[in-house]
Amino acid sequence: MQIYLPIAEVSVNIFLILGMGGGVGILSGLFGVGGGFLMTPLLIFIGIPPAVAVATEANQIVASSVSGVLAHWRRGNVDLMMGSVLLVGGIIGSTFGVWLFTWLKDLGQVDLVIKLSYVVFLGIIGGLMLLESIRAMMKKRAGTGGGKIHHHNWMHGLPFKMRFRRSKLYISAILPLAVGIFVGILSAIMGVGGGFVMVPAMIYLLGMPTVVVVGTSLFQIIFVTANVTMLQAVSNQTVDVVLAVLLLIGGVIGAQIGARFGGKLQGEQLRGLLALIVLAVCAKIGFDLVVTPSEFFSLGAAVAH
Amino acid sequence: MRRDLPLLIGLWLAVAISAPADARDLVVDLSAPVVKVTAGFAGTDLLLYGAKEAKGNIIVVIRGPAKDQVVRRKERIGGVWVNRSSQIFKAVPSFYWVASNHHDLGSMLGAELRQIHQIGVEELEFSLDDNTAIDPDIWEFRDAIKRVNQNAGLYSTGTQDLIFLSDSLFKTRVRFPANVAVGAYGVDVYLVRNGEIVASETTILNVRKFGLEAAIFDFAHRQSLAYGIIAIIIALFSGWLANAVFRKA
Repeated sequence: MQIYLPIAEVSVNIFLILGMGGGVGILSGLFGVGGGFLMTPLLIFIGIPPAVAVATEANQIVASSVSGVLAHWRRGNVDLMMGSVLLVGGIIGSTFGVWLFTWLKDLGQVDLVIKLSYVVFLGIIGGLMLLESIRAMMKKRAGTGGGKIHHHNWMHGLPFKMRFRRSKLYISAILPLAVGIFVGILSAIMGVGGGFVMVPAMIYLLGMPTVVVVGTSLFQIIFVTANVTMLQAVSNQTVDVVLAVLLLIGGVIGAQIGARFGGKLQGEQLRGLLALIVLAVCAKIGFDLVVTPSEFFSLGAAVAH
Repeated sequence: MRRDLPLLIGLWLAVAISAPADARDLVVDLSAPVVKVTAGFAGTDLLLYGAKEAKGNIIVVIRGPAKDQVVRRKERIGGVWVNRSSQIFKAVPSFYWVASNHHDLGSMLGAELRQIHQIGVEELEFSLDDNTAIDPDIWEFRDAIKRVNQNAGLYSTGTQDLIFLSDSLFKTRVRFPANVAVGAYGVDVYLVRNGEIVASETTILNVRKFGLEAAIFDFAHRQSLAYGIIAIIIALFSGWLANAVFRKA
């Protein structure tokens, strides 16, 4: 059954979209990630214009983050103070990111920048995750437990120190602000929540306890992706609510199935599997960038001078 | 539209001079005056019917709303294919379709007439935007507009079939793909004899969004702030709903 998407202005199979939402939903339930980094490329692969894919995916992530954060909120695993500082950075970053996106779109380079960002970030994150999970599996086999290392370095000399009680941290506000800005830019350009960058940054860079990391990250992702949705709707009119709702329905059901399966698998194996998926998406996008295209020319709407 | 005015006047004169004042040499109609783009839209076929009173061949040309288009060419930089040079063309028709009972347009009309009336994909000319510096390979860019649109089903490849049901009655089937642009389409029907256009008839076909699709599109463009807010509210609510439903389950 075909459905015509009013904003994307393309006709797509409704079951394909629901299936993609469900499939990515299963993965996100399984691995506890947002899935934007998989969904946006998939939408582009099936012919949704990249600008619409990025903006609409931001809208969908608002919903999946709300659904995810509530459970963490009830358990008290959201550091509001830390979340707010990250959020201020996130709003600055995503606002700049949408502006950058519009500028690149006019230059005709937005597709390239989206794809290059995916190759670089998925490559780095996927590679690190794979190494990490292999190391963890080997450690487990050797029977030694990993001790937590507390870094003390130049970052602790920065000014504007703030106390983050729930995270049990006393660090400079500049650090989470910078992380927020950086992830905000990625969020706007790549159509992702940015959890896959945010979570490692919170653990390794800020030194936050793992238990509050996911809840706090989801908390701030809601607002940053809502900001992206708003700005994309106003400046580019690229948010397709019909597409977003279809993705949502599939995604919500998929996430529940995934979460149930997730309990049966081991953490390191899960992370290793996710790393392989991330690297596969990275390889596919990278391959498409270097392979000789069948058509060298592309058409686009000219921008009024 | 204004650009077509001299053309239309010329056509009117041609008809007025060559035909007896009272007789309508050419009558055309479409199976539907409006193409409705609704939720289930996956492209559509329209039938164009017509009747002619005089001898001659029929050529039908349909042009979609014209838009300024930028054509970009990819080049390899450091192994990666990147959009490099670009050319902006003015008033490129978003749809172009030509049909005739005789496939060889050149045998019916001379090059000059085909060029003046822009009959046939080969004759389509696109003029550069005034601010664009001319690329030495500009013809490649022009050809690319035709090729890319033909591959997308928006420009016809070659002359399409037009069938005579009797000596005077003819019909042709027009395919509109799912990605057609909305707007007013010009349908020009030419009666051609001995290398001249002896009569012509013009009608307008509208491609419009209808129902929920139209409402959403209009809302997104006219009140984008409210649209953004509603999109966020829908997302917040469905996220909460999903959590509430599955917590109980």
